[in-house]
Amino acid sequence: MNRFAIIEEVERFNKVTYYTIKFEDKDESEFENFLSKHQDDLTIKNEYNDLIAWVTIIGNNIGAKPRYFRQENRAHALPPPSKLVEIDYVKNLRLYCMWISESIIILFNGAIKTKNTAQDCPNVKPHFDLANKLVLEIEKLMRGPYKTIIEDPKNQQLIIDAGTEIML
Amino acid sequence: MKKNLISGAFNKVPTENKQFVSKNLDISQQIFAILEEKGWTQADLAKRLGKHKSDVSRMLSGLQNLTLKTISKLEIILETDIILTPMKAKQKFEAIKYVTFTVEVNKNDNSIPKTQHDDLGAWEKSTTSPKKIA
Repeated sequence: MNRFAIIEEVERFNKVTYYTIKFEDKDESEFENFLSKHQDDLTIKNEYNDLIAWVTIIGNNIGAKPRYFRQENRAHALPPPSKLVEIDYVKNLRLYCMWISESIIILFNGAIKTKNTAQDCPNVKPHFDLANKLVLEIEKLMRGPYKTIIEDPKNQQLIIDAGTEIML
Repeated sequence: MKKNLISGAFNKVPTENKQFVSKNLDISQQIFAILEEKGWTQADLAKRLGKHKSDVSRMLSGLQNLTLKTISKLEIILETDIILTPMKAKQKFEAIKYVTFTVEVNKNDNSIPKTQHDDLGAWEKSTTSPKKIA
């Protein structure tokens, strides 16, 4: 059975505009769901706060330079790199996204990665798979014959034809 | 209600986390700028550090809690400061003062002898350096 989704703007910062995806059969967008699931989890408090701070600072001050986005097949992931084992971090929080340009990012969903690879991890695999499917479909809408989604770098935005839906 | 979740998320991040990530990204950006200036890749840096390229990626991600020891080691390998306290920066840059001046020569003034470069439209190169004031 097909699922349909639309692209919604999350936040426009000085240098980056973030978008997300909302499925018609869900109340929350993918990024909202990521926030809902993790913002009150005390076991990843530092990781979560650093990640959101990172999104903000990249958005306001630095721009979405490719080096800060780790490739996950067709999609990308935050934070880079793949494994964070540091003094303050206990777990490995992962947020999937689509890098479109240094000024436009589409944020998806994610989870705490518990295995070495995303494909082996029951937590992140669904999000990894979904992210890659979404990237494929969005690329078709951007670069296919109809081009119903157009990047407008001058105004740091996506121009989306009314009624454009992503179909999975 | 839904929008509040997102704007709330961005606004609720503790200042400590923002400061940590901001400083870390400043350092990361500085290192990338130095690498670019030196014409080095991350792999070159990794080799000189005796580490894997992925270790260097992690260091430069903006989220690794770099120790002062690591930063010092990087400064030695890169042969330049990565971090400089405001006091140190003031001392370093206050010690050097330059006077610069622009000289304009009137090309129509025949009392000034022409040089071999005049026909090419170039000015005669000054043979004196800007005067350095200690």
